[in-house]
Amino acid sequence: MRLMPKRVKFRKSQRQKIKGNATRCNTVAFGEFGLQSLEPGWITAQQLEAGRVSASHYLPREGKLTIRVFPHKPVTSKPIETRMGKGKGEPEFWVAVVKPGTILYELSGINEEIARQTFNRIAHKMPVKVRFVQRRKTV
Amino acid sequence: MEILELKAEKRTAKGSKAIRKLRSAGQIPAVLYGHKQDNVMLCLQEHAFTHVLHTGARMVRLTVDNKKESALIKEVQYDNIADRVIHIDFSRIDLDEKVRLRVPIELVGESIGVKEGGMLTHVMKDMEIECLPTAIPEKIKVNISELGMGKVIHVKEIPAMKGIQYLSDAESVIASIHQIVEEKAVSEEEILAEPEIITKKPKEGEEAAESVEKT
Repeated sequence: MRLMPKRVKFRKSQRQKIKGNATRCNTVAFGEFGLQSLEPGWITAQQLEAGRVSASHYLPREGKLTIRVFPHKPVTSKPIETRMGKGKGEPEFWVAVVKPGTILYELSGINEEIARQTFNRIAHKMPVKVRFVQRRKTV
Repeated sequence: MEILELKAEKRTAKGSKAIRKLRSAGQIPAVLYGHKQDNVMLCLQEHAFTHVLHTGARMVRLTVDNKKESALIKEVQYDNIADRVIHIDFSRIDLDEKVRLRVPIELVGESIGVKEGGMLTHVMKDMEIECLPTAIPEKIKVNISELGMGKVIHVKEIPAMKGIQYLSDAESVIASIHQIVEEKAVSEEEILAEPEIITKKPKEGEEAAESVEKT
């Protein structure tokens, strides 16, 4: 699975600052357990895929993994040994912009112990600090 | 469901600065409203409320200035990073008057479809009901033991409970069982593909060619 938008308005984007905490996408919505980011950062499509693969190798058949973030942002880079100037580089990879509090993955259909172990494996692939969270009680 | 006692005090502190002080002192700001009476700003002990929340209680008997009032926990706001409650809404209720609220759904039993190797998807985690405050169920249990492969269970299929009216759409799906689909390998074309740019302007040569085609 290659995570990348199908259609975009512009090929390249500016880097921009990541300010504040997540005000949306910050609660467990689809599963019973979630993996929450505690730092701001960029998660590349490759890292997200690595997390998904490590989980799918470990999860039993009845477990369902949901990826809550999507790499919408293109990141450019200049070729090596190139002089500065001559315009912005070419898009190299795609990233998901993550704020503290964002839920990255969700799991359902399995018990807490397996969910913790699965998220522990995913956490090793993530470039940000993460923690295990559970769905809140309905009020 | 059990009705728990909760002590609260009236508060005069308003605004983010005063409320921040209140929270650092281990208290939670709250508000009590409803029944065409004035709103009352309250504060209560954090540990006392979290204990009530963990029991799964939806109704509480609030003691404010030696006056007791029955209230429904209408909304709980969380700080999702500090993982603590930051505000509570209480709604006054009459024990003889019906209330509307959302109750969690629990799936009971192992379905035939799962035994056959299917995957269970719990779509609707909670549903809206109307009932008397004394008859609020802790959860609604849905038996899925006879749910086969490719089958779904709807709200209309839940057996009726005495004194409880289901308000969620009758056709809404609660759970479904489907076959596990194996992932397809990514082709090389997909890997090398670039996204379509929707604001891309056609080049001069292309534009001229297009106009010729139109004429």
